[in-house]
Amino acid sequence: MNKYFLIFMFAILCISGIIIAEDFKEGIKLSEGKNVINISSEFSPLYAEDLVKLYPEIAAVTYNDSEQEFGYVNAFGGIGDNFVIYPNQTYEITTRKEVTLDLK
Amino acid sequence: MKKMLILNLFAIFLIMPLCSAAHYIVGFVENAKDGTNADGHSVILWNPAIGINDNLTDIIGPLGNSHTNNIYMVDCELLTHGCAIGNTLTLKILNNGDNYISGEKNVSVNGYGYDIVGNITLNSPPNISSVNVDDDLLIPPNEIDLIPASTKEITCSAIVTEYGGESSLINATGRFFDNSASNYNASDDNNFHYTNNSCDMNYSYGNEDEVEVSCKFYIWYYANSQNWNCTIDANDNLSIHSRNSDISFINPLLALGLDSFVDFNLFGDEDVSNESKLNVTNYGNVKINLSLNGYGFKENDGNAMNCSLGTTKNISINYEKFNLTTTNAGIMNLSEFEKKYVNLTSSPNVKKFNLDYRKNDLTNDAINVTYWRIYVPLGVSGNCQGNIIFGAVQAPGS
Repeated sequence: MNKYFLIFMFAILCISGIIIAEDFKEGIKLSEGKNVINISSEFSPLYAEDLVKLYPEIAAVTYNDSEQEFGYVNAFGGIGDNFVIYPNQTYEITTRKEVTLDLK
Repeated sequence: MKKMLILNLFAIFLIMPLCSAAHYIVGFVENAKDGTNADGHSVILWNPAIGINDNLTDIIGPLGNSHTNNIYMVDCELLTHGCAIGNTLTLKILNNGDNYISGEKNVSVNGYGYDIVGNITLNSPPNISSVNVDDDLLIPPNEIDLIPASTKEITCSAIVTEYGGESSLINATGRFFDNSASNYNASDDNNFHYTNNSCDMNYSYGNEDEVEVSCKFYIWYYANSQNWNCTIDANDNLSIHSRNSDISFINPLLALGLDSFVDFNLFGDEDVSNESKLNVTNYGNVKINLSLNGYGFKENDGNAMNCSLGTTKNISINYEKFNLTTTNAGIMNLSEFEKKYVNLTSSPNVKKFNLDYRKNDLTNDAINVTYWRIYVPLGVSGNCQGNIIFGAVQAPGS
């Protein structure tokens, strides 16, 4: 039992930055640095490039499916994979400073 | 409520694999100064504290992760050992076979999702042009005339353009070899391969990117008569080598040498002299036969020798004879002399000798013996002197 408890504790520690946003009436608040988010509310899918244009504080967006990593970096005018950000998927967003996303 | 908590924890557990953070190392690669595009080349990134075996690569440009011209993008978290803030990573452009690479560049891992590496310039390999190999006789061009029993200085020159600035050209070497019997990587041999590992480099030549390279070779008289290839190799400060070459023909050299004169040592009253030996050395680069003739005082006088005393004072040319293959030692009567030796003649007569040219760099193996006797007729005495003219004629199959 202790073993399972430790595994759960480790999992919680590992993803302490995860934000499961069930309700973002007031937007999704991203702190400076890395944020792992899963936006479960409905919003219109948008491209990573457009997200970065909307929020220039974002340094990089990463999506990792089971086989491949996709990354978009806000450098040199935007480089990398311009993938689509969908609801109910988990993304890593790194920001240069605190920012609140309002995707509705 | 408890059920919701368990479901949330389960959801958290499911997305654990997605928790691994990404940190991008990105940078711009300038095209090579000779115009070669950086796109399509690959960068390799590693942590020198871990070792280059744990590395990541990316293709520069649209085919790579950045999908952008001249830019690369690597997630250093994908290294087996990951990357952490404070790490210093190293990257460089890999050689894909075209010799366009770069020096190493370091970058410190900081926060905020990515780090930009200072610009890298795709290094151009040295460009070697205007390669020319010849001797000091420029007419006819691309022909080299060797010197009998000696060496001939030939020069192989080229212009090397080093786009990173001439100072990054470190060294130039030259190899000169028989293009059919040898190759660039063969060992040195005076017959077919020469190396110069310290060619002269004239940095004052041309503009700031150009160096004049001059490689001298001292070619022995027995170097093969063939098309010869001079290849110049230039290497820069990134150990990138470039090569270019030129061809010249080494002309056939017909030459022979005699190491002594014939002294028949006639002190008694014998009719036929003892056998004298005369070494003939091939001082050229083709197999030779001998052209032989003789005279006493002047050419075509019909004599082999002129003597100081006696009633006749001349020895006829027919009385001096040679054997080019077999020795016949001991005293010999006139009949045997006639059978075993061949008459010298007043006009040149070509005889088969098949003396090959030198093949051994350490000892001269291109020497063969000729055997001579003379018949002294009655009425001749005193000191006798004559001339034998040896000529070299190219033998078939050389």
